[in-house]
Amino acid sequence: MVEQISVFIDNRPGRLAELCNIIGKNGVDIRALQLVEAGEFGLVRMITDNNEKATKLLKDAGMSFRKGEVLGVLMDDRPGSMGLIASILSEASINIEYAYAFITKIEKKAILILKVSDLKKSIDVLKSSGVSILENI
Amino acid sequence: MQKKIEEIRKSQGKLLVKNVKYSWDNIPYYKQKMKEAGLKPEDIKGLEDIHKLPFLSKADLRYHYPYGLIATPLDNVVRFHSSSGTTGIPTVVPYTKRDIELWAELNKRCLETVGATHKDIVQVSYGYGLFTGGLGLHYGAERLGAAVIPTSSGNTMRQIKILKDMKTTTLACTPSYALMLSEVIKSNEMKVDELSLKRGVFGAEPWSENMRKRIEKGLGLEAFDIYGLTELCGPGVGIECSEHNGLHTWSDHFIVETIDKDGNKTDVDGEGKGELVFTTLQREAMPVLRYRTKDLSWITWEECACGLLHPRIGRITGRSDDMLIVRGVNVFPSQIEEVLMELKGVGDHYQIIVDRDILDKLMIKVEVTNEIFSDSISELISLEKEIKKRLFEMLSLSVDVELVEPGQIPRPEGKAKRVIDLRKDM
Repeated sequence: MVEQISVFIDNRPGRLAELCNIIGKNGVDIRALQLVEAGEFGLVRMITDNNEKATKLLKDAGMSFRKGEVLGVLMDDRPGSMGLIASILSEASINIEYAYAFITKIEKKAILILKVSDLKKSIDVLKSSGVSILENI
Repeated sequence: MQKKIEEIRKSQGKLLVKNVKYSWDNIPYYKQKMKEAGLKPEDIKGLEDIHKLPFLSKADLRYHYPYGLIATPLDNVVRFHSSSGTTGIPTVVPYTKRDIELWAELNKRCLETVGATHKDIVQVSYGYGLFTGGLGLHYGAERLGAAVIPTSSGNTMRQIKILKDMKTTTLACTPSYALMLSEVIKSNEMKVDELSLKRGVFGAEPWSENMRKRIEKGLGLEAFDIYGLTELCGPGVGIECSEHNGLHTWSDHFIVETIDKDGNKTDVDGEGKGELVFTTLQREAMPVLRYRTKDLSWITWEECACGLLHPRIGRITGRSDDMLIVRGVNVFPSQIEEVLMELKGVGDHYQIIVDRDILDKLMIKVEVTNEIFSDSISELISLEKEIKKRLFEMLSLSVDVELVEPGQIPRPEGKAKRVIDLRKDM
C-alpha cells in the first residue's frame, strides 16, 4: 500500500505551478502525480518522498487535501502487463475507481497506482498471482 | 396647476382618514399597533398626520400568515396571490371582488398611459399563478378591451411565433425576458420588421437605461417601466409615460412617501428621496398603512409634460436591505446562507455573485474545506449538485454552484464580502 495525497485546486492558470512550488521549494520530491479536471475545479493526486512534510506544507498554505491509501504495483514495462493486472482484479469483482501509471528508474519496470473498491482483497489476489505490491515508490 | 395638486392631496387625506378608521375597526393588529403608538383614528385628520402612523413591514405580514391581516370576512375574499421566492412563510395577499376590479382598473390605466387601446393585441408573458404579474396585466388589458394572449412565461420559441403570427402590438413581461426574446429573435436571423410590436410594459425587476435601449432596438418597440408590489396589489402601482422620466403612481389609490434609513420622513409636501413607503387608499381585503418597500427612489409632484397630475417616483435605484431580485424572484442572502449552513463543512466561506448575461444569473462560490474534501471527483460533483438542488428548493431558481479552494474568496478586513452584484452597469 502506498500513501497518496489528494489536493483540491481551482481549475485556472498557475494553480498547479503554485502547488508544486510549495512542495518542491521545500525539498520534497514528487514521485508521481495525476491531475484531474472537473469543470471549475481540479484534483491533484500525488505521491511524494516525504508525505509528512508535504502535508505540513499544504496545511500551512491553507489548502484542502486528504491523505489516503492506494495500491502500488510494480509491473513489467511491456505490452499487456497493465491488462493482466486489470483482468486479475476484474475476475475477483474488484472495481478500479482510477489508476495512473509511470515508468521508473528500474530498467524495464513500470509502476501502476490503483484506487480499488477493496484494497485488502486486491492485495491478496494480486500477490497470489505473483504480482509485486509496493510499500513505497 | 398647484391648486389642482392641492385638491388631489386634500382628497388623498380624506381617503386616508377613512382608511385609518376602517383598518382600526377591522384589523385587530392595526388597532394594537396604533394604540401602542398612542394613536386613535381621530388623530389622523388629513395627509399632514400620516407621519404619526406606525410603519408596516414585510415581517408584520409574514407574522400574520396567512389570514391574520384580512379586514373582511373570508367569504368576501375572491382571490389570493403570494409573493415570489420567499421561504418558509410567504406573504399572502387577499382580494375582494372590488379589489380585483380596482386592480384591473389600475392596469388598464397603465396600459392607456403607454398608448394602448382596445384595438391592441396584448401578449402577457409574465407568469400566471400566485405571482401577480400575469393575471394583473391580463385583467387590465381585458378591461381596456384589448385582445389578450395569455402566453404566460417560458417556451421562448412559441412566444416568438405568436409575436410574429398573431401580430402582437403590446408585450408585457420582465425586462430580462424581453431581452432574451430579442436575443433569440436575432440569433434566428429574424428581422425586427417581421414583428408588429409597438410597446412593451416591463417590470418586476430593476433595469437600466442601457437595457431599455437594447430591448427597444432588439424588439422594435418603445419600452415602459411598470412598478408594483404584491403587498400593494401587484403590477399597476406606477407606470412610465412617454416622457420616460419617472413612473406615475395613481394618487387616488396610493399615498407614497420617502423615509431615511432610521424611518424619518424625508419627503416634504410629497417631494423627497429615500425608501418608498406606500399607503393604500381603496383596498378592502387588506389595506396597508405605511408599508416599507425597502425600494430606494425619489418622488415628485412636479408637473409632467404628459399632463398626468399623478405624482412620479423614479426608477428604483437600489434597496435599503440586502434583498436581490433575480429573474423577478426575491432572494435574500440569508436564505442562501441557511441552505449552505445545513450542509456539513460548507457555509463559512461563500460568495453570492449576480450577473446578467441575457437573463440574470445567480452564482454561489463555496470554498471546499478539508472537512468536505474527498479524493473522489464524483463526490465533489454530487456535493455541487446537492447544493444546487437545495438552493432550487429554497428559491425556485436555478443557481450555478462553483467549488473553490480555501482562501479564494476575498476577506476584506477579515470579513467576507458576501454579495457581488455585477448588473449595476447593465
